[in-house]
Amino acid sequence: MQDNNNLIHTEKLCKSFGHKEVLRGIDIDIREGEKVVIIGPSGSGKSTFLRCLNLMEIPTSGLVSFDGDVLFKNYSVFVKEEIRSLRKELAKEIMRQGKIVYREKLASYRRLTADYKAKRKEERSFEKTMEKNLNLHRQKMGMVFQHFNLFPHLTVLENITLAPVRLKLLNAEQADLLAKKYLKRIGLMDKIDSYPAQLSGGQKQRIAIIRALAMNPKVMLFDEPTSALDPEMVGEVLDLIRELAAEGMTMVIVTHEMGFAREVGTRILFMDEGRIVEENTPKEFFANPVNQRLKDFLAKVL
Amino acid sequence: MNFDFTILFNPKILQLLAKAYGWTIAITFMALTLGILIGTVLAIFLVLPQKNLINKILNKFASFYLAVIRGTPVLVQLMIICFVVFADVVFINRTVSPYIVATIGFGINSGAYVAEIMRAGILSVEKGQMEAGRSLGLSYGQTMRTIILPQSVKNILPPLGNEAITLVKETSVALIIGVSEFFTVIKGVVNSSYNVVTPYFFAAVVYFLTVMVMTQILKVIEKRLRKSDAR
Ligand SMILES: Nc1ncnc2c1ncn2[C@@H]1O[C@H](COP(=O)(O)OP(=O)(O)OP(=O)(O)O)[C@@H](O)[C@H]1O
Ligand SMILES: [Mg+2]
Repeated sequence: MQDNNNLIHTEKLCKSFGHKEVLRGIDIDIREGEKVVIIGPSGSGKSTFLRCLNLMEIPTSGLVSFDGDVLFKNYSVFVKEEIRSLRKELAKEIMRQGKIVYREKLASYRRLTADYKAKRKEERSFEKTMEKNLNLHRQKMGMVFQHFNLFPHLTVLENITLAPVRLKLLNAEQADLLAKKYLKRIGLMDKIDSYPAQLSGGQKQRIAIIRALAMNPKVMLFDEPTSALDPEMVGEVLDLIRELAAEGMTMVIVTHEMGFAREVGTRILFMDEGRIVEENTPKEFFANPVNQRLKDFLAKVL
Repeated sequence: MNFDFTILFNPKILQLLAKAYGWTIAITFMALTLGILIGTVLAIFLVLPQKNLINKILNKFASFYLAVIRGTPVLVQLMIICFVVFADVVFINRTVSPYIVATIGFGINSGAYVAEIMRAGILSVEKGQMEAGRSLGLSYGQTMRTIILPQSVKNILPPLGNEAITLVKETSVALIIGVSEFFTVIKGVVNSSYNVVTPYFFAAVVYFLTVMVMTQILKVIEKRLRKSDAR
């Protein structure tokens, strides 16, 4: 089903909020070391997709796997749909004929129902075991948010060391050392005891990035990391991401920075209305877009 | 209106009043502590993500608790707890003192209000905080304890202070179950002296001063919190 280099793998990934379908079947394979950039119009489902990868958002159906382990699978909803439409047909027959004429339809209805029950049972037991493993998997998937989400009641140092120490990946001294190493690297050693409220947007986002890095993740998910920043601070954040990319970190980046996408990405995806409608190397993607919506989109943003 | 302070200011009465005032404060304090314990648990039930049956049941239970407690007068609740639930042990075996019953009664009552306060405090913490915690691999409980609850404290403390003020005044209701709290003694003085004006006015002044002192303490705490906020 998937080769060993695939870090992230999704199949028919769907997500609805109520009746609103936001993701409509996304199949993707992300190999180790890849830098996948996702672009697309507002509301196309980019954030939702990213959040489904670490199950911050629970998908409606499909499959998500990470590092060889299945994090989420739910196919029973498809069967449920089938059952529903079959039931409608059967009801129609009964209304018209007074009895069920299509025996095979009834048989397949029963078969599907049994199938559904079995699938559901399996999925339920899977969900239960996943609940615990999910926290372990999330440790390996760093996430960087548009609005930083630093912990305002903790100092910069505490922000970075909280999770690795709580989760017993490092002891307090090791975590402090690691935090200092990263802070030196981004030139913010003097902010070690500051609170987030005392930092600029660019500083906050860089701290947020090293907070995620301190967990030693296998992949970093960035959701518009520079969209909330003043223009003069965008550069310092992109520089840091660029450095991480060069060091070989696997990344999935949602961004509106086209120049950055072209430069850092190894593959660019265009999302529209919950689907990936175009996917290519950066060069080809920008030079020869095929999809009309993508052409319009690029014409607007470039 | 004929004030007669001699009925209050004799050593025996003053001693009784002081002791009863102590009980009023003690019951308030203990009931509030119990209320905070109950309220915290209920508030967690209320904000728990509604993803499985157990969480849904806990949530429904908490909502029901709040609806019942907030929908009935504290006087009625206290009577039911004392004369129905604890009737045997209080009046027949005499193993449980009415002071304990009053504390439990006010605690149960206060729990509902504290739950509402804490729920609002927890929900006032930005959604991104829970997400940031969970995305690092912290569990729901760990994120709640280390990230959400510490941040909600500054939104919880001021209304919690108001709850304490309400409670101090409400304890006067305990006289109906035979607790010698402050107002019970006042009532006793009224009955024995046939003077209505003096004891009641005195009671009003004492409650008022108590609330004033509590308000001042609250202000100091709030100021401290705000200071640490601006760091
Ligand atoms: N929790 C939610 N409840 C209901 N609807 C939601 C929720 N989250 C997202 N949506 C809807 O899903 C759609 C896709 O949202 P999403 O945030 O994934 O888009 P996006 O591509 O990231 O857009 P943007 O570029 O504006 O960030 C939007 O129409 C949004 O209103
Ligand atoms: Mg988005």
